[in-house]
Amino acid sequence: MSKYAIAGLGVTPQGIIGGTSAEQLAWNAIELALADSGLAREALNGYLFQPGFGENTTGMAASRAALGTNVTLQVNSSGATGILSIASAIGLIEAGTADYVVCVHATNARSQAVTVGEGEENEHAVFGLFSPGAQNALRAQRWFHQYGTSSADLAELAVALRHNASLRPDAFRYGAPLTVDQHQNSRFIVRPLRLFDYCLVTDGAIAFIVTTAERARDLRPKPVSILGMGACHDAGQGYDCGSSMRLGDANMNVEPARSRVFRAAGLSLQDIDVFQFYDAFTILLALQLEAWGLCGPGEAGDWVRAGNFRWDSARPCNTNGTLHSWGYVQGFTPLAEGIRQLRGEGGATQVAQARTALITNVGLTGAGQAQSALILGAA
Amino acid sequence: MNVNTDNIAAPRRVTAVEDAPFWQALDEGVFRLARCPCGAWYARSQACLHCGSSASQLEWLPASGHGEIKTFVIFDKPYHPWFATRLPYVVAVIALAEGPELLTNVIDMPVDEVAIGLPVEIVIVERDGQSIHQARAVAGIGQ
Repeated sequence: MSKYAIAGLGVTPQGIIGGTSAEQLAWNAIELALADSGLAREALNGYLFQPGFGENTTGMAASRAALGTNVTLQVNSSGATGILSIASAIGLIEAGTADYVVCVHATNARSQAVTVGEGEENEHAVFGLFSPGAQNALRAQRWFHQYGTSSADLAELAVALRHNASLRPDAFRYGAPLTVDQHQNSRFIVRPLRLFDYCLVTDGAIAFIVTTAERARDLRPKPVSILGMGACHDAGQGYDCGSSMRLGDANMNVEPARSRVFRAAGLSLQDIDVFQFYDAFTILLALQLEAWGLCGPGEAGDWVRAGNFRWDSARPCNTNGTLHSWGYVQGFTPLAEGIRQLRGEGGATQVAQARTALITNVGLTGAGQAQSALILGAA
Repeated sequence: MNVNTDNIAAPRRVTAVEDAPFWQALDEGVFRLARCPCGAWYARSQACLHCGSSASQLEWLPASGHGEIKTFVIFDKPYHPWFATRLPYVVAVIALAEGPELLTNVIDMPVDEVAIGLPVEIVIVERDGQSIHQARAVAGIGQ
């Protein structure tokens, strides 16, 4: 499917920025993507954005950047949006509405002091189940029970993520490695999940430009090829009373995202050089490592303990610490790191000869869990 | 934290067209689930995942109220002020004997004794002017 490519990337600083609106951060990311691509601003004629987390965005950044927009589109499938925005961008191009589409997500949730879960008025609130973290805690408890695993297994993932981030100067947790003991002594947020099982809340934005492979060749950076995509959404599986999704399963079903993404790319798991999984919570990462087949069910902790996962291992994953330790730009975070690895811009955690990257996105939507998967290839 | 919750309303139940009969039955003191002609049970009105029948084929019938704890979490801090004086509390997913799973609270036992697999029964309680379902360990069974 390498008819399309990513031809520009803009990544703002991540962390506690403050005094900056989400719209301003989106604009900053667009300017960085424009500069990276070498594209003239008036040529960038498609604008696609995921609304902000914390403070909303409206797409005004496209106007401030004086883009030549023929089309502006808001897309949202929660944490699954980053990859689905590429699918949407290709759709806009195929439909003839635009030639170069910039996809953007920005958040200033950190400086807005967003407290996830508080004041939620959804169908779970009557029972006091607040926050996505609590839904993942339900999974963790079941995972412990089903496979005889424990919080110490999740600690392995947190430690490996922090390790990768600690080597990357642009990561929020640069220079801040973590030990298993520190994880085990951290406070519970919702039992059995602890502080270091949770990802960061940060300020920052990411933008990237999607165009045809042919057009991408004329732009400055080495284009990154879009080799395949897949998605799944379990909206039909929620059969709790009023609940939009199945809760508390210790196995994640990644079909048909898995079979579709590999079929589209003509590749198998063994062909992937670097992985960037959506890691809002350690348990969510563990379930994906198992569901995608990097290890068996219940084995994620042991697999990481054995030395896998770290950037310099045989199975390099989440090479900048991603959502857990780098910065929280939802699905755009693992996507940006996948692009960087294939461009050889992974700095201290660059994987040698990285030619293919698998990226996943996972989101809790108003109607079930959404997942999307993408395989990118180096030029 | 010194929070007076006397005047704070509990979070309200969220009812939608697909589960209105469930909540209405609770108001009448009956725990009901929806059964498809093929034998599958649901806790809300929806098309059948097994045989594909439309939601209109489901029939709301009294259910056993028996089940076991599939998984649970413990909250030690309040995300809503009403819970501030009710900590810690357990939120669990109950696997009902008929098949559906229900989110609820496990009540009347120490949180540290709650365990996956524990047999429970559904009870209907009045909380702040609304009927809701809760789970309670079945006496004499389990731990």
